[in-house]
Amino acid sequence: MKFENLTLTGAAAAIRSGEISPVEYVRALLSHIEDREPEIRAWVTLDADRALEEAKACETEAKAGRFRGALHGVPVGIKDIFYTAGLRTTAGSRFLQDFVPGKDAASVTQLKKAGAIVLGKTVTTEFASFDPGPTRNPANPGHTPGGSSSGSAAAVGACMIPAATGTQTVGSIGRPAAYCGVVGFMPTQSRVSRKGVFPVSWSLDHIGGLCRSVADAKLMLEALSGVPVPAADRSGPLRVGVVRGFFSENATPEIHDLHEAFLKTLAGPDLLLEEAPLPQIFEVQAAILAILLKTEVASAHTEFYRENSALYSKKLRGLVETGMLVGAQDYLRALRLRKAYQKEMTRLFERFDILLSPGAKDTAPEGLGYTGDPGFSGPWALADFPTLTLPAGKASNGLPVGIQISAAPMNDGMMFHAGDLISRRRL
Amino acid sequence: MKNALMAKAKELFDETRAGELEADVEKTAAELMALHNFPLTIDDEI
Repeated sequence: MKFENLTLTGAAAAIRSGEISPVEYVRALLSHIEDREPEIRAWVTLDADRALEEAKACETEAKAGRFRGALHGVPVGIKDIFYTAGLRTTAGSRFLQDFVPGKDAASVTQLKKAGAIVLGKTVTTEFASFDPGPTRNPANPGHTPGGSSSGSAAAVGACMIPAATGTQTVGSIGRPAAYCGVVGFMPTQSRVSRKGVFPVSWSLDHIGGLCRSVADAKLMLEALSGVPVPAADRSGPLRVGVVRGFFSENATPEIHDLHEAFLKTLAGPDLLLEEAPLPQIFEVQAAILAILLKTEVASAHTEFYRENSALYSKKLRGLVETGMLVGAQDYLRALRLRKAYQKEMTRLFERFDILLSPGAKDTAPEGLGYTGDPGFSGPWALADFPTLTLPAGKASNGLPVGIQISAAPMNDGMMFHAGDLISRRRL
Repeated sequence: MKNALMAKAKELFDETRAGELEADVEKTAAELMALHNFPLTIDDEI
């Protein structure tokens, strides 16, 4: 058995049945990481000794028929903006290189309660913003893996870990998932606690993850939140709203054509595809998002910036400083418009069960200086629509492309149901 | 809008830094203009 190819659900089941040992599994992943990490650079910190100790404890418990939870003995990666007790958390920042939190983020506590083993911390862009880390795309190391959950996506894509946490404020899960050819999920914001995660923008931040199947995404979300995801309340064919407009106009010609070809493979009696017209307010979604983002980033960084402004990278510093220029009236107008946007966008679910859009406007850009355009993910983060990104083939340059499945707020179960249907159709 | 933001940038930072931020300020001004040009009334929210 090739341990590194196990999915999250596969590994959890194999440990529970006694087919594999958590210790052997952790050792195998560490060995695979040793092989791939010099090229991919997905990890900031590996916690090998503690992970092996935990694996031994899990093994003893499993032999005695005791299981901590659904992820008993399964290693996971944690994006380096989540607090991890006793394990350094740099947030990709120069001035937090030695910061060791005294507590876990609430979602990390939940993962541990489910029996997951923290194997280490994965690379994030600086404070989950736009300044890239050193991580390379496992599909082609000459290209960015996307950001900000760069290390999580690359580690999952390179089979170093079956799943890792991620966060999305604009496009930080969906874009790297699409670029690296893995599954990414951004649940409804209130499903997973943000306590103990460095904020980028309080109103927009979502906690989610990266993994290799739809079932893995559901399992990971349930572990992160500590509660089951209610099943989709729907029988009969799924009404699929195909979102074009902005997405068709901004996708590269190849992505547009690949997406249209993908849609043709989906149509059938169980998936009824129809174009979903975007409301007029969609035209200002990027501006609403940008004003909320920069104003909240500026507020979140008030103390850090005062002490360390010279240690910020260029893009984040510019974001903080322009955010400092936005007045309260303008910020409130952006908040009010966001509410109107959410209301108008949610009306689409009177006609559709899910919305389908391309995962990103292009494939992963060449080089490591730019993590790519998050513009295709931002509309869903702003709407707070739970969104699942799935691999959808490869472009002519050999790089992965993805699709996004978005559902109504709190209807994360529908997102998984649709993801499952679409994945099965593609097999 | 851009002039008002640039004036605030000069006040908060120094002239050199404000100059370096000009492209970001210009983008922010365009975003704010887009928000102000989109109709929004309190009636819609009550």
